This record gives sequence, C-alpha cells and structure tokens, in this order.
Amino acid sequence: MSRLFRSLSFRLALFYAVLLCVSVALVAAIGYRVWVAWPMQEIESEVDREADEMARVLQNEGIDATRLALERRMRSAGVRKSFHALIAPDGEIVSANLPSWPRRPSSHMTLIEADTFLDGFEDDYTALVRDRTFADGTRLLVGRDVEEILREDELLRTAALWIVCVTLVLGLAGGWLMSRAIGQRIETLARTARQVMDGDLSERVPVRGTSDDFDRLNETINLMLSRIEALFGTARRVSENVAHEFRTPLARLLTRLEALEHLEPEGTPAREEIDNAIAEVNRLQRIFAALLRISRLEGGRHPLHIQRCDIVNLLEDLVEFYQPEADARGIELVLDAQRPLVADLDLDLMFQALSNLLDNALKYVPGGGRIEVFASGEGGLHIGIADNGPGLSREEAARVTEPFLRGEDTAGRAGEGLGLSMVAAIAQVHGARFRLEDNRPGLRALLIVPPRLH
Amino acid sequence: MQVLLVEDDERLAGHIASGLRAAGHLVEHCDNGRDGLVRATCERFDVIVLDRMLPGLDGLKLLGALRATDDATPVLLLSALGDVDERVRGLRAGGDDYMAKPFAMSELLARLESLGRRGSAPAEPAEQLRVGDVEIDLVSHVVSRGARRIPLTLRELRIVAYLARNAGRVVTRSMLLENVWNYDFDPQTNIIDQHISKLRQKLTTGDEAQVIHTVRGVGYVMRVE
Repeated sequence: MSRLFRSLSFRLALFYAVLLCVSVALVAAIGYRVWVAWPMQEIESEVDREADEMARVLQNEGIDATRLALERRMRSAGVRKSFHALIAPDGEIVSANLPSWPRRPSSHMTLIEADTFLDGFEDDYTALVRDRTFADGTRLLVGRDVEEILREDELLRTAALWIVCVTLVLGLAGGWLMSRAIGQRIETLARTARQVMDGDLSERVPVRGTSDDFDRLNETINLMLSRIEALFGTARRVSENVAHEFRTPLARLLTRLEALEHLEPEGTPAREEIDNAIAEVNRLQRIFAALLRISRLEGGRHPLHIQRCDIVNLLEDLVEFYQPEADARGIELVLDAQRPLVADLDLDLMFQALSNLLDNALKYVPGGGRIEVFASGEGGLHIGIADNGPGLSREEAARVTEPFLRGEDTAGRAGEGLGLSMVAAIAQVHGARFRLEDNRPGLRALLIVPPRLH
Repeated sequence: MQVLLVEDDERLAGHIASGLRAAGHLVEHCDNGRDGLVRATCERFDVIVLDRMLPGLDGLKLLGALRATDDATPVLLLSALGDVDERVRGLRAGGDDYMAKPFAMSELLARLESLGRRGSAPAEPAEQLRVGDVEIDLVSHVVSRGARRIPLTLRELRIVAYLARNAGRVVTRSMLLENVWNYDFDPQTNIIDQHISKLRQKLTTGDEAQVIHTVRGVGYVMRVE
C-alpha cells in the first residue's frame, strides 16, 4: 500500500480527485447562493415588509381591520402561499391559516411546518415566519411558504455529497489503475537499467510499437544504450588490440635481451641494466596478460567453466599455497570455514580472485599481523579475506578497483595495480558482489556469490 | 635436438633460432604454415615449435594435418593468444605444450627439453625416484636422504617428485605451477620461491650438499653436484 502511495502517478490521480471534489463543492456553494440563499433573503425582506405593514394597520386601525387586511393579503399572494396568525391578548385566535406556532414568541425569523389538509389530501408547506408581540399582548405572525427553496437546498446538498463521494472513489480507482499501468512500464525500464548496470550492455527496453510517450522514451534510451555499448566495445577492443599487438614485439625484445644477457658476464653494470630491462619486460607482460583477461571477462568473452566446487577445499589450497609467504613475513594465516560448503563456480577464476585478495593482504599487513580466510553459506555464499592491517579509507575503498591504482605496501613491492580490477571482473562474471569493508581494524574483502539454481 | 621452428615473425624467429643454437640444438626455420607442414611431414624432428597464427596455413590446422598423418612429434605451440581457452584449443588440436608470447628464452628451452625427452622415451610412471642420495617413494609417500627420513607435506612431495623426474634439467616456475598446483592462475608474487625455500630447508641439513639449485631468472634444477 505504501508503495502505491509512493507512486507518482497514483499521487497525481489522487490530487486530481481531491481537486475535482473541491471544484464540485465550490459549484455547489455557488448553486446554494443562487438557488437557496438569495431567494431566502428576498423572502425574508418581503416577510419583514409585510409584518411591518400589518403592525402599522394593527396599531393605527385596530385588531378587526388587521384581520381583514391579513385575509386580503392571503388572497392576493403571488406564487408563494402567505401564512399568518393573529392572536388577541386574551389568547383567542382572531385569524390564522397556520396550523400551529411556537408557544413562546421569537425575535428571529423562524421556520414553521404549515402542512394543510384539504379533502383528505395533504399539501406540504414550510413557512418562514416573523413573529411580533405588541404592548397590549396581541401576537402577530406573518410568513411565506419556502418549501420549494428548502427542497432545492436539500437536493443541492445531497447531489454535492454524492458527486464528491463518486469522484473520490473513481479518482482512487483510476489512480490505482493508472499507477499500475505506468508503474509496470517504469519497472521494465528500471529492470533494464539494473541489468545494464550489472554489466549486460546488450540489454534493451522493450518497445510496444504504440508510439506513445513511453515508446518514444524507450526508443531514445535504447539508442543511447547502443551508443554506449559501441563505445565500450571500441574501448575494449582498443585495449585488447594494444595488449595483443605488443606481445610479439615484446617477445622479440625479451629474446634479444636474453641473448645480450648471455654475452655480458655477471656483476657488470651493463648486465645489471639488462636484468632490469628483462624484469621490466616481464612486468609489461604481466600487465598485458591481466588487461587481456580483465577485458575478456568484462566483455563476456571469457568462457566460464562452471563446476560444482568444494569451497573449503579451494580455501585450503589457497591457504596452503600462501602459507610459506605468510611464515616468511611473520603473519598468522588462518582458515575459518566449515564443510559442507559447495557452489557452482569457475574454480580457476575464483582461485585467481582469492589469490589476488590474499596476495594484497600479505603485501599490506605488517609482520606480526593476522589474516583470516573465511567462508560461510548464510544468505548466499560469503567468501573473503579479513586482515588487521592498515585498512582503507572509505574514499580509497570506493576507487580501489580502478585499473592501475596502487597503494604503498609494507615491503615496497610494486604491483601492477590490476589485481582488484580482476577480482571485480571475476565477481561480475559470477553474478557476485565484491565489497571492501572496514574490519576494525584492517580490511575485509568479501565476495558474495548468490545461490545458484539448478 | 633437431628443432623445426615455424614462426612468421622474422626477427623473433631469428632470436629464437639463435637462442636454440646457442643451447646446442639444430634448428630449421619456416616462415609460413604450408612450408612448415611439408617440412614436418617429410623430415624427422625431435620437437616442433609452432606459432599459432601463421600465413598460408594456420598453426592449429597445420597441427591437425600433422596429427592426421599419425605423426607424434612433440609440438610446442607459441602464441600471442594466451588465454585458457586458446591453450585448451591448442592442446586439444594435438599440441603437447603451449607458451604465450612474450616468453623467456630460457623457459622455451626448458620446456623443449622436457618435450624432447618425452618424445624419445615414453614416460613409464616410476614408483621410485632417486637423485643423488635423495630417494622418493611415490607409493608410500616417503622421502629420505641417506638414513634420514624427511617429513614432507603432500604438496612438497609433488614438487620434489616433479623436480626429480626432470633431474638435471631446468624446471621453470610456470612449469611447477602448472604441474604441481592444478589451478590455472597467475600469482602476483614469486610465491613458488617460498615453497622451494621451505623444501630446501627440509631436504638439506647440516653440511649436506644442496640438491635444488636456483637458475636465476628461469627456475630450478635438481641435481647433486
């Protein structure tokens, strides 16, 4: 329900429904003024005028003359029926066509039921009455029928209430339908955006062919995605071609340097330079190999060899592989994982990713430190490496998967700055999330592999 | 050894040929696939170094055609394409080993020697290996030096067994990685050195002679001097 209220289309529909209700209420108010309030005011003035006139007759000409004047008035009344009652000081009714009146006189205009019965038929009337009591105790009531106006008043109120209710119900239902229809199309758009964000640049928003606003928007977004895909493809091909094309010249350079190395006796400055040059070529080779692999992974062109793996086996192999390095650096390396933990993974790629993470931890954790390789199977498979080294700031952690970003390690060894980019690419092809968290103190690198369905 | 080198990049071929000749091998060179196939089928070589992408006839097609004639000469594929799948494709087409460019000449030599030896003497899985006074019993997993029994982990046993099988020949770090650890990955540090160093400490105590020697920039060799 709260999702429905968060929907813009629903809130717009609701807003218009309320706006419509307010409009209906305004129209009803104007109708009331024209058909009820004004005619009522006119009748009030008329009744007041007549009451004044009859009072003047009573005071100037006496009670009998007033009775005659009242009867004359009754006969000469126009569209609306006239009512009156003249009561002598002793309580005797001198003249009256009102069926009843309040026992106590009122200084305000009052509405009095004045239904009449004639030959067994009832006529409904309501009289608007001015009530005067004179000094000698004579009481005079003068009124006019307002039944029709009151009916119009009631009609207007009922109609306004109904219109407001129907408008609200229709507005809510329409809003729900509209928000559902629009929501579905927006969700399709959002789903595509999420898939694109997850690295599938070939994903497109479906176009219905109705040429409506959404179709036009989707077509534009699809064109934009095609353009982005083409640009990414070009960038990837360029880096791949560069890495690829340089391999043969590098091979030439390396064999030539090695030939030179054999000519130069060990220990001379020239030999040292040659060895340095060979080390540089080897480093370039590693960079190109890593770049090619990342590019193939990111471009979805690295065929995956997914197989069911025993994760604890994998981690045991990893720890065993790095144990001598940890021993040499005086770092405690421990494994925390309980069997059974199985997952469908590309074993070589996962070993590469974890090797890169552990390698990094070994580089940055100082001697005497501790590194824990762990895995658990709660809520997807969590595999990670936690250390108590210097850790990373939030800003560094956000940027660290960018290619060629390097930190200062404790041994002053230069990496290629591609290790974590590769981890990110490997995580992506597994549909896994790669996170770097604060281990308080230290760094906790985590791969969250979603449970795979069979 | 008689080596046939099929490589279209002239300068690279020149360097490889001179490196192989300097190591005492006889080298014949072809710069395109068709000539390479003709030479490989008409003459007898101990080992063939074959570039993956060649003009005239692609390296894999050449290899396929060669294997179709029941020629079993060991072939080392050389390629700028180094990805796992490329290697798998190369090995499935009949290649015996695969190296991605750029490569160290010393590693190429080490691998060629290993291939050449395999070609001449079909490998009979030995149960016992012996290098000098180091004895390795692969059945009972016992390694001993003289009267001393050396406790080794399974991995250390596999390392020493691989080195012993190639005794006297250089074994590169990548060869060790491929044959001892069954993961195809690229460690970012020379972690293999640490394993060897640990193994050395166990194999050699007191004034015993070193049996695993480092060949700088290439790898290791197991021998008793």
